[in-house]
Amino acid sequence: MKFRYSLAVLGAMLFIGGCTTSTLKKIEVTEIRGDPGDGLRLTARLESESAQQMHTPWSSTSLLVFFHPLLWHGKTWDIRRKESVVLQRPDSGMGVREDREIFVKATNSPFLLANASEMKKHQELIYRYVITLLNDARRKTGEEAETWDGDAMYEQVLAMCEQEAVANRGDDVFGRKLARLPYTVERAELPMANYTVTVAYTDVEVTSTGTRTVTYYSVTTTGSMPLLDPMSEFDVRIVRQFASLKSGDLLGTVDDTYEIRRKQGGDDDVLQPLLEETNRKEGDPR
Amino acid sequence: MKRLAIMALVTAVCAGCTTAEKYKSVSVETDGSGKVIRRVENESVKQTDSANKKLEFKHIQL
Repeated sequence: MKFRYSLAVLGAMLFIGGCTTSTLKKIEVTEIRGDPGDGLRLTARLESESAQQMHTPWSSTSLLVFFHPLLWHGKTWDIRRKESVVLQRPDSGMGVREDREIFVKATNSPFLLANASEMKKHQELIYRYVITLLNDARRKTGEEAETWDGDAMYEQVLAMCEQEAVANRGDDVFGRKLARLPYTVERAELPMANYTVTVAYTDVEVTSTGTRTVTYYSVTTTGSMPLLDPMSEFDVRIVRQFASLKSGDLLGTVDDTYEIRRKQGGDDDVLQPLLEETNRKEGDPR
Repeated sequence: MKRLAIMALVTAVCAGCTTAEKYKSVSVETDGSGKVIRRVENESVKQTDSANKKLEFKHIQL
């Protein structure tokens, strides 16, 4: 009988453990009403839906680490994201559906399991940071786009959705125009975790007459450190598929793979900005 | 009875894992006479669900 209860408790723990995988979901509907002359009417509708999960598997590198839960850690983590966007022109009946699948795999990115919940809490920011890295790299290679910022891109898609010319020329033209736009997100910098440091010390002064003066000091300051290991390397795959909303016909597919690796070799793979600045000032004869 | 207690505990913990936030915004553009020429309504729902399985992909093979 006791064995059964133990099994039930174990099962319950496993189930609760499973609940710790959280899925971030977002649904957004935008309706635009324009006035072609005879009053306001619905001219464009945009529906987007996304779901995202972050997985932080842990691995033990030695027996000592295994027996100390505070040292449990992982070296790789991944983000899975699915998105769908539906653009409609209710007046012409035209519409395009874009389905996206994005997989981000981070390697060489050590983290303590105790911090994994914090990473999951900020997974949307982490995701946006990785995509921002990609888009910055694409921009550096000379790839041209009207914008690389998610918010501006959203406005652009909405404006495109409203264009009469696009509405009259059909879904395939619309699909091609969409496919040419780069995949963007709202820009994000490296996520930082804030912390406070309190320094407390005591000063005891003894005069020649033997009088003791004790002074206590306490100073609190704030700082921040990266939430992700700066040595992290990323592999990203983005698949975008476009289909006509009316007929369901496939209009096109974009399949992109990206690798972000730490620069290896040479003297410039690690920078010491403060030291360089000091040297330059000291060595500068001017 | 104990089974029931365990199930209730699991349900309570998992129910507490779900959160949702709703946002709604309306922006209006008018012409010189004050007539509305463009109206944009945006509604979004952000939700965090607890899940027991990974998101499955259709196109990306892992």
